Amino acid sequence: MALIPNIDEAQRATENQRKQMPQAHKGLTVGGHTLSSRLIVGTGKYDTLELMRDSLAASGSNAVTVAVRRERMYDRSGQNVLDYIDPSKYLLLPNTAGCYSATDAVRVAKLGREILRALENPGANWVKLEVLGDSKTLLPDPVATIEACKTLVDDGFDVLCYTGDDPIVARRLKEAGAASVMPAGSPIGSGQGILNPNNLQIILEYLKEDDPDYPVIIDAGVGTASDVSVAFELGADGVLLNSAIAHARDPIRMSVAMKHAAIAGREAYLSGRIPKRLYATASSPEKGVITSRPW
Amino acid sequence: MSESITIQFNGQTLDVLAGTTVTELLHQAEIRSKLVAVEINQEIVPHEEHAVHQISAGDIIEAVTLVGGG
Repeated sequence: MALIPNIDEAQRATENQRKQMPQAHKGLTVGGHTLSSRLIVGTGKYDTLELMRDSLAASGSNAVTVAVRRERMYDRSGQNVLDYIDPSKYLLLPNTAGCYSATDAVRVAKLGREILRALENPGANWVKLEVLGDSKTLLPDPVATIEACKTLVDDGFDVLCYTGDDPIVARRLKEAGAASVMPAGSPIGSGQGILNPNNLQIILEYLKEDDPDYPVIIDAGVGTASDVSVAFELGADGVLLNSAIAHARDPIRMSVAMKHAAIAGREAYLSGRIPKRLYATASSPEKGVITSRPW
Repeated sequence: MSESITIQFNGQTLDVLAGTTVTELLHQAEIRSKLVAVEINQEIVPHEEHAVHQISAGDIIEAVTLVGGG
């Protein structure tokens, strides 16, 4: 009989733990927007805009990143990416890709906001801030990123901030008012996955300490579905990816894989994985075996 | 007879008639004005002002839109 209260207690503890965990179905809340999918996908590098449109749909994502570039002149046949993104289905997240200074990033962010304002897209106050330090590695310039983040926050932007996997920089960005800190798993477009899970774990711990709902999104480096699962298993709130889908042999199919990987990783995280052990633990009862051990 | 003025538009040197508005410039360049943001000398000209904002000689104008990106 002594076992029964113990079981109750254990169940209660598990139940309490479960209640404390964020729920998967609640979606990703960042910068005043709640997204039902935890994947944010890019719209770049697709062979055709039709393929992009169908891949976005297959990914189940509700938010997509776009870049700000000069409009081509005198090109009547020029298709616009906006002709292939249904504004009622997707929140647009303009980026500052290609900027190498805080001044340029702020300038591009404001132009992106102006375009979305005219389109009446609710993502107008959003920006994915990216200030690069080097065109070969596309690694972020942490000093310029923090500076641009502060300026944009002061100007009323919700800043989703691309950064490396340095926990101190991540903390500085949160202090600067970033709506989300988005550490890279590995360099942009490299497909190397998550190179330093320990640093990401520290970032998650630092940024969510006393603020468990603060959104941390892993941005860049995803190569395949398992990378997405790993990010979510670490406790990330979201994953942002582009190349791994757009450059897959079959982007639509890879979108489906990414969607399931995100769900799998998030659910696994919320379920609480078992600890790793050096030795085996039998799954079948030890008691009642009819055979004998040879040792 | 309107005189023509020289401007820089998306990196190209261009001659337009004095008094040309932003809306007219975009129309001449066959650009869909709803999909672009316009910046003149690094200052954004809001959409609401495109129809009335006249271009001046020497203006450096950028018309940007959204493209695929990550």
